[in-house]
Amino acid sequence: MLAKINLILAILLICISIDIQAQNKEFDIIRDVIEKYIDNIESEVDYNDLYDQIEYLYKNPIYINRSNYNELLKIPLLTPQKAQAILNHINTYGPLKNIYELQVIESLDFELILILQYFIRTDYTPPIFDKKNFWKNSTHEIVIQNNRRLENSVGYSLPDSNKNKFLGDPNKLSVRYRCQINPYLNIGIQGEKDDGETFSNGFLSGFVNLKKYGAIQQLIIGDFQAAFGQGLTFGSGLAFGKSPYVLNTMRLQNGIRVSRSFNENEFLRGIGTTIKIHPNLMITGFYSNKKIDASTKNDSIAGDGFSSLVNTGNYRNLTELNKKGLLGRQIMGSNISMQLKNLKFGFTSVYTSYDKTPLIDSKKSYRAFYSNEKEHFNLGLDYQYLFKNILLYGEFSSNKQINSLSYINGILISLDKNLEINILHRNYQKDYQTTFTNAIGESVDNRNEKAIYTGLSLKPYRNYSINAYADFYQFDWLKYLIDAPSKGRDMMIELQYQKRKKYLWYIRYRKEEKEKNIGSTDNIRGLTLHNREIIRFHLENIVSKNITLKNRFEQTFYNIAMNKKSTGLLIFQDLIIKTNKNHSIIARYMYFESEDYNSRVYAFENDLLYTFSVPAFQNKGTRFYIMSKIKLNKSCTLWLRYSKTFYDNIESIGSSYDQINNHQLTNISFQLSCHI
Amino acid sequence: MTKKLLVFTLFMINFRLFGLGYYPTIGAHAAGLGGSGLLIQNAFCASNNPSLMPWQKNASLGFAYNNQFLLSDVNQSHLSFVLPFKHFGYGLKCSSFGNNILKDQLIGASVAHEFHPDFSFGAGINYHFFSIRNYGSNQTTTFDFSLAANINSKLKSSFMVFNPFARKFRDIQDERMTRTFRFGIKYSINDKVFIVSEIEKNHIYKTNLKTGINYDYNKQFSFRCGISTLQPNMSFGIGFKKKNIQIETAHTYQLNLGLSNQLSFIYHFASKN
Repeated sequence: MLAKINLILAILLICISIDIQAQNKEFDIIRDVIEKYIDNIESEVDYNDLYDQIEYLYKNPIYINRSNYNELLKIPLLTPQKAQAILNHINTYGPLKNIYELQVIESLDFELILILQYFIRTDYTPPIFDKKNFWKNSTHEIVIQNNRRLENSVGYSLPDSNKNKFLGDPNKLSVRYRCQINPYLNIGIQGEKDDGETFSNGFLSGFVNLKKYGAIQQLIIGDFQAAFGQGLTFGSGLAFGKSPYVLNTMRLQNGIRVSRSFNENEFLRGIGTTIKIHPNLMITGFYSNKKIDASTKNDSIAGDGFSSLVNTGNYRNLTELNKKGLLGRQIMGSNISMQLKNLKFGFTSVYTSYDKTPLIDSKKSYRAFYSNEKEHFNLGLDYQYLFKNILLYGEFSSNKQINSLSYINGILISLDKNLEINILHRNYQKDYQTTFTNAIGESVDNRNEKAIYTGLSLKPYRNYSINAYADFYQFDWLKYLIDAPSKGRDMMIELQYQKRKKYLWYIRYRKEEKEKNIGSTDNIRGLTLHNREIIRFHLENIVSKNITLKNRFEQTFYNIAMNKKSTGLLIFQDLIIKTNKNHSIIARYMYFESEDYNSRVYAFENDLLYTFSVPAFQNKGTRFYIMSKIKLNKSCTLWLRYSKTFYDNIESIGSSYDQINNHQLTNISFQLSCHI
Repeated sequence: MTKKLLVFTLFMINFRLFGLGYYPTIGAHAAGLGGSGLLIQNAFCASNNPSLMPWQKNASLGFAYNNQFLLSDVNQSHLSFVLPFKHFGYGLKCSSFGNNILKDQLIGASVAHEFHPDFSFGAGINYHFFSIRNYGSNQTTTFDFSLAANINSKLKSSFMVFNPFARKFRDIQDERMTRTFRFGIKYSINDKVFIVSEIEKNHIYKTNLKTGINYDYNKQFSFRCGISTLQPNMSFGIGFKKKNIQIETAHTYQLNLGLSNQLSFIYHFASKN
């Protein structure tokens, strides 16, 4: 019966999609840009932050004839050299009258110009703001989203007396409200209830944001993100690691921005501001005071302490609720950023204090250098220097207590309009401790790592491009499941052919070698080489303005010291049909199989507004999804998404109270968004 | 006794290769190209890839006969009819594999629509009947979908899924028809030569890579050869065409099991529309 209902829903969805018209193109554009970014990423993280960044740029395009270097660098996929080439062109030939004039700049290819057109304007219109009619031109946006998985996990059916019993219903519900009161002031509030949670245990977030008002570049009261330099001293929010965009290892973040993510722990809550003291001098200060989730315990020597932070953001049962908001964290920071012609540098200082003592488990040797102080202080210096076709960038950072200096230095060189290389050296000390960090690295915590990264981007012939990188790294101290100093390497090469507006294909090969424990137990057994190889063939065919097809074949090979082997495979077919100018249906059919976790496969998925994912797939099965948009009137749009995964070789999914005693997963999502 | 055992062993190996739900591409033309039949446009595309049917020039009727490893008990015969009409294509198919001891029979119908001159979508439904003497019989229904696109004047691609959800047809054991994915490209080097390459994944076997090259010597004769990797084999074939009649032969050599021969006839009816 359930299968029939599912089938009817799927057919209904298709019919509605075909019949009903229209949707603004904003989401399509932002989605396309984000897809370019994250389709190549292999990680399951929250991409809301990225959406917010790109959406802000889309709604607040840069006036290119009045822009500066730092502003241009906020545009996705624009490298520093290309930004500088644009500015040089404007300085030499005067203001641009049309965006397509950029085609005469040799280093800019047409694909990039197509992206730029969404984020820059050539004509400048000063914002209209009448103080007497403070609210008159305000705009409001509300987005309601609901997601429901039809197969419930064990947690819902446990007896009430069980502490793992889920207290809420299986709906995942979120509401966002944003109001642009005038060109300078906007406010936002958002709430989310995860599946299994009660409304009272949900997440609530908000902000008031004043932007570019007099000397105030940014003032945020509420929830926000902050990142400076290369993100080594302080960097909260999303930043990408190694990817086929081999030149994009440099962080272009600077300052504070509002947080609209539903990540319930990785943000700051308090006040932050950036003041423009001089056209070339900015000062940023922020303060955050927030309760975060942690596993706490009472230590006989240290007293009240915490053993680890908990970042799941789930509060479905008493077990999870018992960790909610147990740790108080205060963060204060400042940054001074200066621009002197081609040299830009900044000083960052951050002070963090916890209301409980970090407890270091003596049995976990890899944590031997973790700080057990309640407070720590970080100081950093970052720089960028552009000399002709060479860009130098980097950051030095230190802990006050430990005096360890960690640093990252890179050089980006445009040897030719068709050849760019990127060399980066990083040295993160094993005792380096910071609160938020997002500098590039093999591990996310930016500690205990030395590495040299080399990237190359070459366009040997028209329409062809080759991207490659090699990252050689070593860990001087132990890491989780690595019981000795170790080393590894990560290499990738990609050949791509792109015929504009027609088709694109690429072949990619990636190889990772890393030393890890022979077994996964706590016993020390020595290290062995773990080898993971991925081969991908991807084809995109733009059949017409209304039909696009995408195919992918990907095979993963994993082996341990050439001995224990496992393989993974992914095949998918995407079909994107635009029934008219503003309306599209996106559908995918996919087959996956992987023998174990090591050979898992990843694939980017299109989802509702603000939702993007690159899920990992294990076991063997098929998956399909279909997504459609229905414009109800000028202001409101309804989105529907139906997805289903069938597993062939397992009868239950997940473990513990998350276990689902079924071999299939069905998700139905809808979203209503209204703009007034 | 030894002879019976040998025949039975060969029979079971063959059964694994071609029996119960694993359907190789039909027709000697595809067989001659290492089995890369996904983008071969002829009367057998009702089975091999229905999305090609609207692009057929004529209605056509095809008969294919496949003799496995020179054994008379494991033959497959197949009859197929394709009718292109305006932007649609319609197909009928039936096939039979095995002998009196084991039979695997199929009848089915396909339909396809050309949504755009460079894009077509097809779907098919199949009814399967299996019988094993002294053990009984069973039947099930499967469907397939496929799409094909012209990337440019020389390059085509296609994707096909046979039995996408692999439903069980018996609850007692995990008995289900296999699910097969095919993705292929065809590159025409010039008017006389084309290359086809195909990735095939059956959900119980490893990935099969198939590729072949076809050379049209003149309007009557064509030659082809190909390889596939799953059960490593190589093949070659010859095609002959005269007026409305097309005859194809192919010979496939498998390292362990030896030679298989395929023969197919195609009759082309009057021109489209």
